Amino acid sequence: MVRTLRRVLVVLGLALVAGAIVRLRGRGGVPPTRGGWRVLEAPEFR
Amino acid sequence: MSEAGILVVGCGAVGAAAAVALRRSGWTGPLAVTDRRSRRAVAVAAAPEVGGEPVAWRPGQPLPESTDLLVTALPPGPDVRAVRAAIAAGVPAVTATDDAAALARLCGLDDEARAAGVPVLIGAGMAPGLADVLVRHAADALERVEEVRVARFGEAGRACRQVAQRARGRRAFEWWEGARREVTRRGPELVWFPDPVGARDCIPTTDGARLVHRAFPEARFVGVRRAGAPRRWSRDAAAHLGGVLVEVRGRRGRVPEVLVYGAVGEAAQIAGTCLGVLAAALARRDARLVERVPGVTGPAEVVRARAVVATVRDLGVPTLAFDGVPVR
Repeated sequence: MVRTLRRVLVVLGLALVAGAIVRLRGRGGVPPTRGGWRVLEAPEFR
Repeated sequence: MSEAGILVVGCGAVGAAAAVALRRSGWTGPLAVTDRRSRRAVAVAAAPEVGGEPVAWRPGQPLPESTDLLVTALPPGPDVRAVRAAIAAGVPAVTATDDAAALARLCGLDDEARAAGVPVLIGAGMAPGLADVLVRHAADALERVEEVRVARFGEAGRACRQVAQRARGRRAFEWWEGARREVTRRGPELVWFPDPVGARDCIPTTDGARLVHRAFPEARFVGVRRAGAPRRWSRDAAAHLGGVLVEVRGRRGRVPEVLVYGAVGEAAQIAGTCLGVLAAALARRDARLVERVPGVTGPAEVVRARAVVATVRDLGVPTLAFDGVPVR
């Protein structure tokens, strides 16, 4: 029983690690914490 | 049409918005609209803010004689056929296509258009389109453009969604040091669009990159990313949120600068407004907005960006700037 439970936990742990690797494979992921968006206004629209 | 006028081909979400934008941009001349579904053309023509005339015309047929400018919001194949007909008739054309293969085929018509002395403005929707206008706007503030990154979120209509789905399965290319290079690392990258779009996973795509490279061949890097298309298409326009983001790195004197511009709104509204504004300017020969250059060009090559930004703002598409430290 304990052995089965341990196996299940190991499998779940491996699945979590694999999922995290797949999810975090992309780049980016750090929000722009400084600054913000503003509407461009006349006359320069800068 | 009894006198020379504009023919809008394709009355989907983008074509309908473009017809409205043409009128709101001050085009008072004849405006004909056509669609493979005649009922759709009749409905767009009858809209009070359009006041157009539905006509029967199919891409590939010779253009109606009274056409002075062709505006297309069509899927990639018919779009190229329509532009070929325009060049054959010596009529300027503006297209909203965003499909990389169609854009490459349209660029291939450059010699033909130059020989005929016909201006053909391609990729005049959202991205390519307003995104290219914003890239030009950023570049105008710099002395040297070194890197251009464009990202887009959202699809304006069914045809646009099909292009997005095709793009996912295709190889993607970027331009490095002037040479086209396949993107081997195709993992998603989070791109931070202005709210309410926010952070979205985007994958590399070739769509639109060619046109930016043509406008800025000196740039060390040109790349485009797009967010995934929804699996199901909804008729609810509010669900079709769209956004563009451009990041231009360059130098003013010896000082490195990064300019980040964006726009968010209903995707069809953004694409249609840009298409309508650029088409109206070309029809009116308004050099304050668009330079009338024979041959096939992208928006970043011919627009007066500040004036176009001002005009689309007046038509309800405000553009935004990011102040701060952009994160990549």
